[in-house]
Amino acid sequence: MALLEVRDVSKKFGGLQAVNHVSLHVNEGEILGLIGPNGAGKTTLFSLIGGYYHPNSGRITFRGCDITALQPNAICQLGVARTFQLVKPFANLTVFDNVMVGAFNRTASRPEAKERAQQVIDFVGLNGREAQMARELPTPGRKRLELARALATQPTMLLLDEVMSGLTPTETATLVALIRQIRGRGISVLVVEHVMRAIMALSDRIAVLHHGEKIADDLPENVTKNPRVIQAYLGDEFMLSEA
Amino acid sequence: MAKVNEANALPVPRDTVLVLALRGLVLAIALVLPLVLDSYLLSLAILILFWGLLGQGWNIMGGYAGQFSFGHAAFYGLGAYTSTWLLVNAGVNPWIGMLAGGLVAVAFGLFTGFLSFRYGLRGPYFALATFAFAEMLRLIAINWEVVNKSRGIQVPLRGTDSLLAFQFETTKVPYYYIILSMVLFTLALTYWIDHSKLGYYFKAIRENEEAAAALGVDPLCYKLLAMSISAFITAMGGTFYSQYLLFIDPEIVFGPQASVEILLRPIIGGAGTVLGPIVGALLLTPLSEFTRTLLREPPGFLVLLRGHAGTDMMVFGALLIVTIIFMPNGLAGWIAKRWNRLVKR
Repeated sequence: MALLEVRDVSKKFGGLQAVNHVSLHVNEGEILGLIGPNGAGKTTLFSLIGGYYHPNSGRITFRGCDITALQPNAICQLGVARTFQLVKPFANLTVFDNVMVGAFNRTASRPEAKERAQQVIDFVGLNGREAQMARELPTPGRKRLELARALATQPTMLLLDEVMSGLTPTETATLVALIRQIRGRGISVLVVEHVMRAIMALSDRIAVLHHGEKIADDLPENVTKNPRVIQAYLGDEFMLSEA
Repeated sequence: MAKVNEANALPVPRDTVLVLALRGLVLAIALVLPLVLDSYLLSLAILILFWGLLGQGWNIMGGYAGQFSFGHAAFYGLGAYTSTWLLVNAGVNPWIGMLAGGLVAVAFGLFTGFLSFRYGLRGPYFALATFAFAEMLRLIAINWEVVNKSRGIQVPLRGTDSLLAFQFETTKVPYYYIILSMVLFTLALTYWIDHSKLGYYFKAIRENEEAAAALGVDPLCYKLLAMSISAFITAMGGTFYSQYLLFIDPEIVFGPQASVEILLRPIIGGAGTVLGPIVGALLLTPLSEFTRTLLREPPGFLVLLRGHAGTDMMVFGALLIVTIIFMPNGLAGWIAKRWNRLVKR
């Protein structure tokens, strides 16, 4: 059975159909990439899974448990952690305390939370910056902090919303390696990403959204050859000249 | 690991021998103070602790959880009115009345908090809502015969001193020790919150509610919790006021002036820090007394201000602006930073 299952989910904002009857699933230990042109509904779908919006129709289940109507904090407690596209650090807390908040998700004991937080900080490579205020971190550091906080909640599934945007190729490469390591620990990952090279290298499988609808769901190499995907990204003219 | 512990404790002075000694010294001074102070200075010390207590109450919700309240007079007044009304009309012991007042304030806080948070009031909108709730209570008190309308309620004189009855007519010293115990208790509570899951969750909500929720924090639940703790402490201050000065009326305990005075000290002292409210009270309370006395008998160049009330609030306002611009973490935060630098050297 799939770990996360999105079944026939739709979300409308006024007259705009942001997500239109989308179904997808993430298997245990899998990295699923979610791509699509700007405004395709990726972030909306993400927020639906995370509990920030609730769908107009359809169901979302995690480990067989219906999470469609749950609030974000309840979903996190069940084991689904997320990062934000626009990072939201606790600006006036230290890096360490930022991660502590996440670590308290599974324990009320301060020493235990401290131990957990330190492990995660070492893992994402923020060690040495524990005492720094989160607002003083540069962009790559903030992305790592976002990841560290989410990991500290001890999730079984991680939702990453454009963690690589705004990073240099070197930084992207280290982050790709890091996400692979996370999967190696048995955590399933759903990544939304604009950086194509990164997502091709990272994902086991890729789903493509366009105008709120899923137009492809396949292995990375097949997705790049799919005419509907090419059309969605490059437009009709490109298709004509190819023909 | 040791290095991390140190770094992590940055906002609070490190538990070095020096700090412990300093704490012991301050406590010792606080304990023997009534033996050396004259009556005027003793009442000033009581006032400092009293405002410190109210500030601590505000600080849990406004400073830690970041829910800025402009209407803490509501809790303050509910505490004062509940215990005093029960004492005068039903002969209920004020200590029990204090507990009852605390519970009434918590109930009111939960009710108004649920309404405000459930409908997503944040920041200035929430502050305005709390202000409106406090004003509502003031108007009810003014127009309600059961609580003597605007005439207020007088605590009947007993003619004797009694700790059990929370009333002393020949000496102020017991009041000093009572309010000191309350402040120390709240200080310990705040310290515990600051170092526990609760405090981390409060601060996370203050910094970014959405991000906090994504990390498993239930914002509504923790905001209501902060409001309850805050309401209870503030209501205790209300009962103390009533038993100390033996008279309350709607303007004094429910008025906007009370709300403003409650929040000024913790903000200037350092919102969201353990010691901030006390530091603020230590600074502002004598300052307020000083400006009041000064204007009663002004020196030549200030003679035009003679008899004008409210100058202390003008001074406070100016201080508030300076604090917000130059010391965003208040005086306590600023001192802690200097202190840490000094110790590190």
